Amino acid sequence: MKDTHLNLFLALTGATIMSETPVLGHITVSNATQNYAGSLAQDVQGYLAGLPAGDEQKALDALFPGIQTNDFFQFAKADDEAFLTEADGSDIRLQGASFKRVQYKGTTVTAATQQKGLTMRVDHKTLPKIGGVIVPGWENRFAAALKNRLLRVDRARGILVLDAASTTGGSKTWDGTTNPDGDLRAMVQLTRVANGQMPTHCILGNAAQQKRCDSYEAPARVNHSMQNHASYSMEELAAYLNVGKVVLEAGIKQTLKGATKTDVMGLLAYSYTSNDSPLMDDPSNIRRAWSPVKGGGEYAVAIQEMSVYTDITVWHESLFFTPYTAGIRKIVPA
Amino acid sequence: MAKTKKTTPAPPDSYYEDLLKYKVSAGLSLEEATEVTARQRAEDMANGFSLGDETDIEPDPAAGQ
Repeated sequence: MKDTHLNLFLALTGATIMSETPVLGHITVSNATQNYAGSLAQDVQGYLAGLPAGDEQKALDALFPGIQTNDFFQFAKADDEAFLTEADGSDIRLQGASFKRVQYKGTTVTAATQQKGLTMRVDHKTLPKIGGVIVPGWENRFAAALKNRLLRVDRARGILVLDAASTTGGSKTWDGTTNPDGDLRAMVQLTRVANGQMPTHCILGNAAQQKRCDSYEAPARVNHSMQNHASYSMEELAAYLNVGKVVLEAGIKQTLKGATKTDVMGLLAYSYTSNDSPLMDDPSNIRRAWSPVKGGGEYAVAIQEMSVYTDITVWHESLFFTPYTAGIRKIVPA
Repeated sequence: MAKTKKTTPAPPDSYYEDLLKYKVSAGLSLEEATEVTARQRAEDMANGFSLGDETDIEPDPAAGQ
């Protein structure tokens, strides 16, 4: 049993390998006729580094932009100090006097990213072959599938942390007589007042979005001035709410083979702030820290090849944390 | 805009104890969970809203997925 490296898989494709450890500026692979997806995707930093970001990655980034940290890291818990204002004019210096002296105390917290990964055993018997040789590139497909699976659970995990850190004013009735977007606007304003700034995010669960549309499409609203809200795009809704963006979380999860698929989020809506600023004292409500794994990227792949099967492991290290819980709001439409 | 303000009695202490446990199990530190639970309790006391049904969004670790 041993790790199988880039050169071995490139060898399967017929590509020319000049060195095992690629060097910046050094031509590592030079065989244009073999530069199809199977070999091109095998970036020097691992299988996944060369793949374009898929929908699952984009969905996670849209909700929780990532920031790179070490596996052990410190961050400052934001508090009310961030929005202190000298309403009494005490910032104006009198002649002969000193400027008012202030300080930001904050609280520094130490945290560590968690290692998350999955291993899949791929039986060579199940792989397509030509002339008895397995068609190359299959490792990428399985590695990408495992990465997507890890991304899905991380998205659900992030929403779970968000939910746990949220405060709700109770359920809101969304029907043909109420104004769901008014409730969302009120939620956003509560975030603004509690957090100190307009939220960057408002997220709608798929069921919440359906209920919202049902409300504005109700027969009682024919020719009503708000009927057009049913056809608002997420961008138009964001402009109406005056938030950074509205994200429709329409993810599906299935926690057991054969089980009924369910919504990752469902009949819920949240508003919060999450920036991708590298500053660790940024007043975001929730953040996703990731630390580099083997190869230096966000995800790593290990291939352990046996005679008749191969174990493919994909892993990453990340942590959702909440530097500032004030202002994370939730609506439960009913 | 119609709101669903109700006169439901405030949830019992056991509700907030369970809420605290949920928040810790979801990944908040005990300090954060205590802070958020206290905030929720204060808001419940202030407006007397009944809490809506929670939607299960927790991944099922038992399923090994």
